[in-house]
Amino acid sequence: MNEDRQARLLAEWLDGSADQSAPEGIDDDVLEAIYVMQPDRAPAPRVTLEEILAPTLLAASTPAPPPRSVPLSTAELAAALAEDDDDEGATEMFRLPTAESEYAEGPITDAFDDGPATDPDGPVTDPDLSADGPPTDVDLHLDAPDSGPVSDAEITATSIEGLTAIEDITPDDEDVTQAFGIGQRPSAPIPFRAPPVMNRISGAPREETADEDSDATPQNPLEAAFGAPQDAAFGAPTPPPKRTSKVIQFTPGKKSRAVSVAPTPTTQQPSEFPAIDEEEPEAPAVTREAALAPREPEVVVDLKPRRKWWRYAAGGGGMMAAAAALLITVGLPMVAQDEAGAPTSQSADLSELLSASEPTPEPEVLELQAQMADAPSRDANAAAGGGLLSGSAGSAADAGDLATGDAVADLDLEEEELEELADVEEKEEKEEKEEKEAFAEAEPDEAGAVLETISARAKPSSAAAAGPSAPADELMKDDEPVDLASLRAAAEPEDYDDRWYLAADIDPGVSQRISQVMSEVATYTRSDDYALAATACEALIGEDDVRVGQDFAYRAASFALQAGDSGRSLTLIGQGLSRGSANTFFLSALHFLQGRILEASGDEAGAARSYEAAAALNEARR
Amino acid sequence: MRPPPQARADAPLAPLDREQAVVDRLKSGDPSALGELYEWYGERIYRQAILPRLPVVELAEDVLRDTFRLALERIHQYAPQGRSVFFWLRRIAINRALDVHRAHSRQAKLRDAVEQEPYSHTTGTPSPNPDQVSDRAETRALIEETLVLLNPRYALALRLRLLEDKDREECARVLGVSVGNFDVILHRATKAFRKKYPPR
Repeated sequence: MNEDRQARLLAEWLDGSADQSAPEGIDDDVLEAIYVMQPDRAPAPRVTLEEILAPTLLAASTPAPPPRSVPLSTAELAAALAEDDDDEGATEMFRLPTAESEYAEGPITDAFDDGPATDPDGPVTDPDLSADGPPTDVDLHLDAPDSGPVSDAEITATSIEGLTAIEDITPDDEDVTQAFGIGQRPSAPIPFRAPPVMNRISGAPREETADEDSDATPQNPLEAAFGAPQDAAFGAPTPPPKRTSKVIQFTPGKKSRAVSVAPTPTTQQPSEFPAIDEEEPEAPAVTREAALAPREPEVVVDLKPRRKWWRYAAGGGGMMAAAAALLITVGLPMVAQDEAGAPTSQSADLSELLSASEPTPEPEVLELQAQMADAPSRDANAAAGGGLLSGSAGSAADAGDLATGDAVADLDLEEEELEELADVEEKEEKEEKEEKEAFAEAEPDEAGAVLETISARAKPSSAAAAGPSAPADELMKDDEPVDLASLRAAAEPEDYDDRWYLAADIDPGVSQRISQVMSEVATYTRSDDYALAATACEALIGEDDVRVGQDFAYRAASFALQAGDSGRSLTLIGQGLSRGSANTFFLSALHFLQGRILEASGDEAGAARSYEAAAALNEARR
Repeated sequence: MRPPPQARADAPLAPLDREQAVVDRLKSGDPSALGELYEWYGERIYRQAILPRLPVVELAEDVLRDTFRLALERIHQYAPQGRSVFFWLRRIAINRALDVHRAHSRQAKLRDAVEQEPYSHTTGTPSPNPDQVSDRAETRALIEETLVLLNPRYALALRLRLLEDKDREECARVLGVSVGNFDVILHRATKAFRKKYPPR
């Protein structure tokens, strides 16, 4: 099930009441996270009181059922193979008091010769075990010896009242409750059909006990599950182990039985549910159109060597172009993306770039040139991408102190995807990358609603409807009256959408502080304590990352204004403006908010200057 | 077969005198009294004490079963000390969860989280109003600690949707995305959360 489908199922489930069970198809990780944060959505525990009490009450005769977390097939197989281990062995048992009371005569009476005569129904006493002990059940696991009083032959040959010949048992005769207690899962043992009983004298199978399958090799549970092992040298099946063991249950008044082993289903056997076992179809291959579709930007500078990646730079290129060319020359790809992460792109001539930086291109560069020549559509794609992205870019040319060039990022995303999918070693890296990309991919341009809200907060009553917008340069002629409404309209940063600045290249420590402030802000705003919200945001104005500082300065100023403290708001705006001249929509927003405050306070000239600055920045970003 | 406990996790604790009567019956060898304790506190312990620390349902159910089995076996060790038996059961559950963690060394982080839980939370000075005591605060602390480790945008999505129970439209608006995209963000956020949880 693809991610979109899972996300939709999750959303629908969360929209429902808490007692609805989780829909099928959602990853366990997702469900477990939900259970942590909303434990009421977890299914009710399936533990019954009988399950709790059974091991305690039946401890003397029944081993505890396997934990629920152990697959049933594993438990069965383990029980079948653990027949020699008393701790993990089967419930099949030979009860001494029972046998003693029922079988006073016959060959197996020898087994009790060492002990003193006891009341058949009373406690077992044994001088070797010191004094009288409590009533005890003694379990004897019988390994079928070839001779002796308890040999298979003797046991089978003896007619014991109350017992039925093994062969007379049908599956319908089996008393399931003897194998496991009420409420328990069917646990150990998984017995298997005993080997044919041999006549000790003649060595031939005894006629009265040999059945149709007596000639068959006793089936090893492992063989049943995984097939018979093959001899590596001759390809012949490995002979079964010489020593065999069988488990016989004697129960008073019940029929003895030796039950065949049912092969434990394994994944190697044909499934009963082929449709369910089918693997999930892989995600559809990334098409070139999809790969080249404009993405929401993120800031990534990836210096990891990759084949068939190339970058080139031009336009306002400068140092970025030279750096890009150098990286290409040494075989390192470079992804230069704007503040919001979009690969900024302008068409450029790679040959010019290369000639400016390196007179003798490396073979790899020559190959790239050849590819470029053969694939003019990539240039077109790059240009198209640049056109598409330029509008939303905070731009790598984040003017001034951040970057000075427009890097062009033309990459074959389809090839990249294929490479990443094929490279198992980069799987973890890919997951991290996908997480980072989540923000970009999942955030379309739906900006503006919150900004309008914030603008509305600062909007004075006198500043009502804005006039028709006009280009800023036309509005600022000295010989014309100042039209604040038009200026204001031009000053509003259309590309600002009130998103928190959370670019992927933010230092993790800063990211944590941002998260904490976001949490505090959420708390304060819920209680309408905007002054404290402003204080919380103010703490990050001085962050090293200029954009973080601008973002939080604007937020702090907005909250201060919402708290009714326009003076503090202007101070905070000033702090934000002093962080740098990087042309971001945060900077425009600061100027815009400053203009709104000044306009509301009657300082139209000051407001006009602020609007002018914001409009100029907006125009430059366009 | 007795149905699973229906008592909700936020139901008040049983009166101490009734608890004491049940405990006395258990100590006198009446295992059926365990059923009452299980009815009262089984689901509460499962949801509040076990599941937040061990969110794998199958393992959590094993721990719940073992918790009450151990309680039955060791009921003679229990001394009320003026507070609900719930806290004793809860301590058993946490210890049992620790054992499970040890058995699953792959989840070493979970084990550490349980080990480092302040002991006073479960066996310290009795609360003046035990009925109001809840594990939610402890769980919330673990959650908050984890959220800080996440990408802030993921953390915000989880906080709004799962902790504050905001509807999808409001969450999407705060994050500046469409509702459909918010669903995807939340889905990825829950996966990222599980990778980091518990935080220690």
